[in-house]
Amino acid sequence: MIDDKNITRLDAYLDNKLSEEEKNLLLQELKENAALNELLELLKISRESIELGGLKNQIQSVQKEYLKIRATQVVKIKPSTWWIGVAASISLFILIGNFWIQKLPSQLIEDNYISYEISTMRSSEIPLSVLENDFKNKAWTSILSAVPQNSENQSEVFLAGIAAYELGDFESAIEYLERVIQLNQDLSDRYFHDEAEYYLSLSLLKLEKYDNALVLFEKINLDENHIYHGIFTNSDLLKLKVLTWVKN
Amino acid sequence: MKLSKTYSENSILDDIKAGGSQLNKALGFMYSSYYGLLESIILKNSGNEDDAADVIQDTFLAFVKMVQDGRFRKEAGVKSMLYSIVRNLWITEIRKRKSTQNRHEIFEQGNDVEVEGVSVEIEKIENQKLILSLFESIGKKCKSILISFYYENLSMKDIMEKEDFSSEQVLRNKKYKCLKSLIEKVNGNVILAKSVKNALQND
Repeated sequence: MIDDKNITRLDAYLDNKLSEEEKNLLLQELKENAALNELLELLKISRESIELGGLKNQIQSVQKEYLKIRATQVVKIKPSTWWIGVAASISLFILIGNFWIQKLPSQLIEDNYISYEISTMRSSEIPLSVLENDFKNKAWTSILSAVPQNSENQSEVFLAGIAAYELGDFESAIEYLERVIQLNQDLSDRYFHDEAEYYLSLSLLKLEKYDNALVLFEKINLDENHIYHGIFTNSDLLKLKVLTWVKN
Repeated sequence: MKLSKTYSENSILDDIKAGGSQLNKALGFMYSSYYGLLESIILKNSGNEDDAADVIQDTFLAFVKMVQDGRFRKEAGVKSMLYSIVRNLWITEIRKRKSTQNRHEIFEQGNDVEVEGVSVEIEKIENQKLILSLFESIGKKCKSILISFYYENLSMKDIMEKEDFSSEQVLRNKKYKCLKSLIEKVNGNVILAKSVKNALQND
């Protein structure tokens, strides 16, 4: 069945290049001929593999170019140049003016916000499905009602923190997320610790508590083992420092 | 390539769907914006720069396919999705390497940052790798001809010049031999073919 004639016909069929008559004839044959059907499936897989191969090549060449440029930039930037760049950036920030400063917090959050998506909750005192479903359904108020005020379960308190964040109640979000961090201090299993620090930093930013947000930004950036390490760039830190400086 | 910082998510997705040079533009932006972040996930979890390059390449391949096939939900966010795919692909890779120590470190926090639906995508990525391995196994010349024709949509005349063929008919014959050889390879891998076929049917 794998012959040139059938391959050519099926290939033309997939490209929609058969005449109406040829197409109807082929469709009729496909209904009656299992081997021809099998060949059509094989051809589809083969064409999928070609497409993936082409896409991989394209991505590979962009990646190669990016890494080449990055390597050049790393070599070019000497420490002294870097500091001159930072100093120049600071001067620039000062000159840019009030409008830009006002937009900075929201821009910092927009650039760095990664929504939390629930995967597998562990060791929850509330039945898992309830919290899980509420979270997936974005039933933030239900989550806040379900989690007791005095809960000592990091998972629950963390989700309450996220729920408060999503509702725009950043004061409560800060309270919950700080509680997760506090609970972890007394326990050997530090669940949701990095996540709490990350969303706490964003909540603090929302409430213009730049000093405290900066401490967390720097901590996350310095700790190579932090889940969110690398998310804040040096430029983000600089922007936050400018905000802190302007506010003080 | 100068890239605007205000490249919106919608524009990124539109350019990915458009393919060709527009896809290059979107890829260039995503590489310059997110590579550092994605690389850090691998580096801080016992991987090296080469591991990061491999996983990130697979991640972009999976992400682009996801967008082009219409499986990407916009509300997930490009950055969140890339972050989640890299993390899950790296966990899968670590599992494959059976490094207990690494596995312990990566699950130390007791949970994964996972965008909904990513585990399904990871399965698809594994299938994509199987399909790709079939394509990679045919000759270099064949790969180039088939990509030029089916992926780059070049005309027979252009491919003839590019690949240095004496006539279109010779090229046409070669192209069908290449395609036939690929089909035979797919057919020869019964388990592979079945698994991939199921994956395609489930799309």
